[in-house]
Amino acid sequence: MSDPQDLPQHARERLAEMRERKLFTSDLSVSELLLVREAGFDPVGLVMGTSIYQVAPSVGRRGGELVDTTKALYHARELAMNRMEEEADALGADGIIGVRLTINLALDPQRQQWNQYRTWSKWSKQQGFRRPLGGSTPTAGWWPGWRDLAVEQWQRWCGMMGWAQVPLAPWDQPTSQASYAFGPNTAEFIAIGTAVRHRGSGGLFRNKHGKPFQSDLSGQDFWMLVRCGYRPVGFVMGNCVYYVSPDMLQAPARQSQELTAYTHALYDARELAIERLQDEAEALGATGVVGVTVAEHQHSWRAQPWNMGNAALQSGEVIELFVVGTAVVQGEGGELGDPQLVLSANDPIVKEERE
Amino acid sequence: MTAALSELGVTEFLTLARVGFLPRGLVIGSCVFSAGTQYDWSVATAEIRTLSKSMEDARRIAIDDMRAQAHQLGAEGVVDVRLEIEHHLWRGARQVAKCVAVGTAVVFDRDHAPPHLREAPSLRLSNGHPFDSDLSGGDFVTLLAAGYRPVTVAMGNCVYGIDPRVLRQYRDRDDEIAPVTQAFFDARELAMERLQHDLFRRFPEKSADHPSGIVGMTVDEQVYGGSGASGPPIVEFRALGTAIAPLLSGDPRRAPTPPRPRLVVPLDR
Repeated sequence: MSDPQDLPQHARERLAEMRERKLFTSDLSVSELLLVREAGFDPVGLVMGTSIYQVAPSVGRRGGELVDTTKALYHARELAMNRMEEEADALGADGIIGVRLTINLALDPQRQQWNQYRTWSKWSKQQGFRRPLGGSTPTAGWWPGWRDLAVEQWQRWCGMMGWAQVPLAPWDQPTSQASYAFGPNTAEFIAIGTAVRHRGSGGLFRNKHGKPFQSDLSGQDFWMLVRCGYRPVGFVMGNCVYYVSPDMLQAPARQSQELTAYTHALYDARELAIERLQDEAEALGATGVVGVTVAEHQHSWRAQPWNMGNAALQSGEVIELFVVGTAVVQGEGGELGDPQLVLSANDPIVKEERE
Repeated sequence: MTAALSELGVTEFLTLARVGFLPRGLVIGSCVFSAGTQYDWSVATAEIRTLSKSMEDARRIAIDDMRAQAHQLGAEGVVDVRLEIEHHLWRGARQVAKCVAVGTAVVFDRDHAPPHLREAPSLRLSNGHPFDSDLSGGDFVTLLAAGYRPVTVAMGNCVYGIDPRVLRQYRDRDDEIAPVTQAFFDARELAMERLQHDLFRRFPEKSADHPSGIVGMTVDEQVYGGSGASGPPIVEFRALGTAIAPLLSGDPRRAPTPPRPRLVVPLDR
């Protein structure tokens, strides 16, 4: 068991303490905990990794893959996942289940302003302030000089309330999203999951490289896989950042037709991402990949957040195709029995409301 | 006896009632405290200890308040605990946080419990206080059948400041912002570590309630300040989970055979 070097001090302390005192931490629900136990595993600790990454915007003239950005976004995720793996390794775990890979992508400063603008205009309407009519009324619903008016209105309102000091206006209030604070084109990549250890077998469940496996399967899915004789070997992913140039988005004439170049671009990007995922799975010696999701992210490199459709026609858009799944290896046997039909008497609506 | 308020849904209520637990009342603890103004906050990339401490104290006061109420009601424990924080800006740009802990106190009713559970020992902690957990009624019952009992809601937090100058150095580069990564990583770990420390302090290894694990742990974050508002970015990380311990030996609540998973196909939508 290697002593992790890359981890912050408090991570090392926490892991050491957890191992010493035989306490496990987990984000498993009660039924997940029981299923994981049933499958022959014990949770050993909540593990995480993070990476805050600056992704410089690079938009080419011609449509195509933005190789640098693709690599950057992949690298950022990889860093977070490697750190999580390191933590799990330090705990002596055989794997990590329920891995969640989340991105806090920093919003474009202009988009932040747009949000503030919207907050202000809602508030202003509510308080009954009237907007002065004039030539400056914007056509696109966005008012360049709104801040001066907003400050004036806010001060007047605070005066009306009899406040000696003027507090921060609602549109300048903190948000619950961390991305707000980072600045343009910066994102936090977080990987978090519960490390588990198999009872008995010494390291049998580790992957080819002797590292703990990672998987985004829930406790329920994990139990079912293990019962059926499969074993997860890794969390595999592939991505592709693609720039769709304006000429791809425009049809040559005023008629209904397929945008061939656009179709092709999306198709291409998706295939590239899936191909990369397959390569990763093959490198791990997997039989197959389960639970694959193909997500299309439109990151915030657009010029004008308030008028997306038309802006895209002029400046093109950047999309990321991101594919993830859990690579599995088929082992011997496994029997799951027949499923039982159940008419559930739980009211699904009540449950949703309570959550 | 007054009518007992509870937030339980019908299914949850009946699930609890089946094993002899009845709601005893809604218990609420709260605390309003000042987190200072932005001038009290530093601009270094480091933990802001005063803020960490005051947030932690506020939560503790709220949840202790809730526990005391449950104790007064003679409850066996509290289920479904929720911990909410609201931030307000009050006059003079003072940041004020309101901390509320809400849960449903439950009692064990021997007369209505199934016969084999009538002699079951109490689930109260060894000092006679009720347990508390953020598990739902259903999860609570499953946990008991599997041979565990909830002990307490465990918490840890950490408020971290970020120097905005660090971010500026990384402009126009495809690169990891290592100092901020370290800061965030460290802050989350610190929150989780504090959760553990708090737990070990309250329930040392020799105590009867020494927890064996934590379920349903989450780490979330909230940001104040940053590029949109004035002042340096400040992030609060909070770790929360329910500590569990094995049931006392011979407790009939432990199912004779552990609950078996079964594959079902639900026919509703």
